[in-house]
Amino acid sequence: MQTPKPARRSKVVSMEAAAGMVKDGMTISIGGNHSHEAPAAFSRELVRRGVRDLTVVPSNAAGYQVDVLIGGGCVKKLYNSYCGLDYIGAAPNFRRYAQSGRLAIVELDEMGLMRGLKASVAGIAFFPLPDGFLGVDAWKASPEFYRVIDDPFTGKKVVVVPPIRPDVCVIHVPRCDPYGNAVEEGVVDNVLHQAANQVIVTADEIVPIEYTRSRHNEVTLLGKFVHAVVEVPYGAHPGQSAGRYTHDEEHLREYQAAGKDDASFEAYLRKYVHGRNNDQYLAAVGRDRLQKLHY
Amino acid sequence: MADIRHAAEYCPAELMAAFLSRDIRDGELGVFGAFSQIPWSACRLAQASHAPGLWFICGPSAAINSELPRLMWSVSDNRMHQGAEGRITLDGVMDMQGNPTFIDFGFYGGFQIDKHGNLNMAYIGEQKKPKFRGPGTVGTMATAWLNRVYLFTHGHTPRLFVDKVDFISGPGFIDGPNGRQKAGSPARSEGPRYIVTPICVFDFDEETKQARLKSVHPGHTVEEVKARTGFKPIIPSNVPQTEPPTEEELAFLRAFDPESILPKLC
Repeated sequence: MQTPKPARRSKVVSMEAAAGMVKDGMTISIGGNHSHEAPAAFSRELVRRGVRDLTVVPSNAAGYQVDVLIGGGCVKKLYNSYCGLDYIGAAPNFRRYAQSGRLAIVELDEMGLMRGLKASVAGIAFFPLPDGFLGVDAWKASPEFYRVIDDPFTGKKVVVVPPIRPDVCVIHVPRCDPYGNAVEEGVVDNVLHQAANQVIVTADEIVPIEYTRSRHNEVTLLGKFVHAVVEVPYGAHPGQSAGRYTHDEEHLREYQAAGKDDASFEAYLRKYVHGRNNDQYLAAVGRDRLQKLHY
Repeated sequence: MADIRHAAEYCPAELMAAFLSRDIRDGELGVFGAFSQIPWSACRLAQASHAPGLWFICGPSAAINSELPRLMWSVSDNRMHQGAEGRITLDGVMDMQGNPTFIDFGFYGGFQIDKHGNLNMAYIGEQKKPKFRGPGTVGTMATAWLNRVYLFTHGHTPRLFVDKVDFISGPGFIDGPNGRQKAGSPARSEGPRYIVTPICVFDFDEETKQARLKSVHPGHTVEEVKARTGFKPIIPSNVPQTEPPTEEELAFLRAFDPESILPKLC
């Protein structure tokens, strides 16, 4: 008797199953550069589940997707190059938690962060930063992260950073196939996901493998690196998802105002996060509003 | 040669964009970050006038030479890719930024800028419990090695222009004439060239590397600059007026900004 041939395994899982991969105390990286393709819905799910003591490694320029985790009480330490809301202004929980000493911050910049992640991807011991970095105060503010060494070739002082290897990386893309292949239509980040042990992809839409095959030259995210794929419509809201919807300025302003103190932020979480799945979140935002974000 | 006619009415951001665009040279490659409507306008104006071969990278969306025909509030909006000639990866942006042979100039700002052109985007006070927490250094570290740096601000107050920044995110001349050399900056990296504000332009004294008043925008005075600046700028005996936008420059900027974003910036 012939045994049946195994079928290719789909990586599609529920939001709950994917979020369950993130345990208290883990180091997780979170994609999204400014309002580009940030896994905001995934962050809300972590807040909902009450995950604690995370060390968070965002992309170069983080915003809502990190700030909501801070305000939700999930973050112990942040590797920070930038946390803000672009032209709207300060990321309110980030600022408030930092100023009250409730958030440990590794003082980075986008070069140190990227090269720490690259060292992880390349499997090398450390990565040097360009000449002149001695004049940037980051290495003095966070000496636990940086080292200043003698360049073995020239003898000059050079600042180096260690590999950053998160346990889990979460990124968002507009479309992903069931095996984790995707075209990043906006900002292409080919480092963040490769630096982590496990990768979760949230996508506005799951598309068939034929979609990938019809444009394989454009694929920037290889499913080989991906462990779980979650379909989350408007999963980047209130940020943007390339080619589908732009950022929601009105919601971001409401969010920023809510972050002014613990009580008003708790009210925001009650309105949009606690006890609400993604569909209920989108209903609370309003379908009309979402429609207006398409272009 | 045709007469150059200067515009009578314009906003500070329009003047700043026109000033910056005139300093950009054809064939160069420039970069700007978030909240950079003035640099974006300056690059597009330069391309439309004297620098058709200019390249510019919008860092937050990584689009190159976007032809998007109108200013937007978010330069990280994916629509920056409309009409772009290409895009580079985030990692590629880093490598380009780190190598001063690629990028000719960049535009930067901060919540503090000091007399040596250092800027602070990180914090004031103790790192573990700061008095004021800014967003973070992000891409401003590139002022340590980029060829040419333009600093620009949307405001001009004593709190913004301080004697010494609390934290150097983007090095200017650090502590003086040999500051950059001591920190290992590449020799070809000139450091900050101008600080362009809504009321004046500073350049830097060749000897002391301290900010020097280069020109005052029409409608503003040297006394006003002194009163609104927290450090003591070098004031030459003769301070000219900043050249206002020409009618042609202003016509371009107005057509490029149908939502009137520039007038709302400063």
